[in-house]
Amino acid sequence: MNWLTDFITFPFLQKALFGAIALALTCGLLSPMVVAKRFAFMGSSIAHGALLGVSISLALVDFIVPKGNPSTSLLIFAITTLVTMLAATPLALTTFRQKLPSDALIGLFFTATMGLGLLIHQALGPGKGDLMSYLFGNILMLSTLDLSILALLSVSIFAIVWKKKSSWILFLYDEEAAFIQGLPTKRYHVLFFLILTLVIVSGLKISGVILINSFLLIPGIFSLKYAPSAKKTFSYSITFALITTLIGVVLANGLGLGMGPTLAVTQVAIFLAIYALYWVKAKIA
Amino acid sequence: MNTIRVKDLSFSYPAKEFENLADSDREILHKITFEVSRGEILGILGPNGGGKSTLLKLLAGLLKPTSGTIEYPHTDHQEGIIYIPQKDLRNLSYPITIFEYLESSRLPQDKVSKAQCLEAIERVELKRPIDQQMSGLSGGEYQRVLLAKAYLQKSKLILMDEPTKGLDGIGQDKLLELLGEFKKEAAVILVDHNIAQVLKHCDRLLCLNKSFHWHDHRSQLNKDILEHTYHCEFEHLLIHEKGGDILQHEHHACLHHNHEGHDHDGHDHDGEDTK
Repeated sequence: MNWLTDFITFPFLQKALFGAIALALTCGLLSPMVVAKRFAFMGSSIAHGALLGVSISLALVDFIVPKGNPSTSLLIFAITTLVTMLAATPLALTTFRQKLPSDALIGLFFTATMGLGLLIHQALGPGKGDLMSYLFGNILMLSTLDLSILALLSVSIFAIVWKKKSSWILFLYDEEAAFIQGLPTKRYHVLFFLILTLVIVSGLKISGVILINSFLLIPGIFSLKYAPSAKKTFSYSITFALITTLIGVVLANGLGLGMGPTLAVTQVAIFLAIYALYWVKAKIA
Repeated sequence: MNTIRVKDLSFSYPAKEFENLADSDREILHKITFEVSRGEILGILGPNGGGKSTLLKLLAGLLKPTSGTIEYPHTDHQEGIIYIPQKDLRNLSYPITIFEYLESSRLPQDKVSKAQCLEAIERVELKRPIDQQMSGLSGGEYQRVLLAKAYLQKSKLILMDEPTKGLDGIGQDKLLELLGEFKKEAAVILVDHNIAQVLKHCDRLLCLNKSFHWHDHRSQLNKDILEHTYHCEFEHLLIHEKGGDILQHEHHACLHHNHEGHDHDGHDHDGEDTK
């Protein structure tokens, strides 16, 4: 096993690398928005809620296409996305400028969808797919179709956010002012939820339900702390996500560790190292 | 020409959301009528819980009236309105710069150039680099950035909720003088507890306490109107107001301990967003 040449030799590792890069790019873009909007718990909740979609899709997929059909992966993705979006839309609507605390609603959503998902899987899904792989991720099983979906999503989400970057920045900073100015803030709020859902569902295979939160949080925390302006939070976050992902993928392969957990731990470790460096630098100065 | 015309405006919290409140407590404003024109500053006075902040939110479009009308003859919708809230709502963890904030002043239509932003901060006498983050500004400097935004937006209506709160006497005077400049192009409505400042800088007054309202030129204000507006809070105001001889009011016995839902210890029942 060679730490770097393996990525040239083995196609499954190439796919893992490209998949991780695509997810790092997209999450790197969204992460500062998640952190600035204080949606950290929201991302985690949607990620866990996606288990409901996975359970339903695993239960249904055998009835729709024969076993081993190449379109199975696409169908699981489509059903999971649809179910998670349907479940997340009421959450998006009820958390828009409401009196009931958002964290209570998010907790309710999280408990209900995850519990229901596990029950459905117990009742209908045993032996119909590995639910655990969606909990912890299995990046080494990525197919060309999975990569195509990820790439298409990355490009679409970049186009949506980048085109209206200044509007998104105003929405993130002062939603009330944005509303008075005439920005359709409710549409932005719901759209942000739906984009988040898409990214989470598409990232399930790579980092799993549990670890996708690190992709959505740590680059954003880093960028909001160190970027000199709102626009630069995007480039700081994307750069951080890309570098930590590349290091994480290489480390996981070289040390024979699980890809998802290694990526998450690498991100946290590098963030803490940078934080410590700045702290020491400030103390010396 | 009138910039804004308000007629029979009423606002109540929805019964289904506030079941524990009596009907009279849910009603924050009752049939308020007034007009403000470009070139005028309207000062709103009244006790805590009297509906001042709620009225500003209604004018800004953040709340929907229960009944009555608000007409903006110069603007189609809410665009052209700048609302400076009582609470500093800045997201201090977000590293947005002054330029990035001002650049978005005319969204969703178009963006503002850096040169125009520089001109605007010069106009409001903000002595900070344009690339500085908003989180590093004081409350007074933040208000100036919002006024610069009003300048860039060519706002026809400026709404300010307790703008002098937290400013020293000089800061208050400077801000209100600046508003005097802005009123040449817009109507300004401000809520303030500092009666002396309001009387000094505002052209018209709206004394407001839920169902009671009085609206006229400041020269028409007298102690009976203030007493009728503030009830038992009036004597406290006189004690706390600088130069407590406003309108030569004499101390009176308080007989209004539970007037119309506002309590004696100053708890604010002003509206929260329900939109």
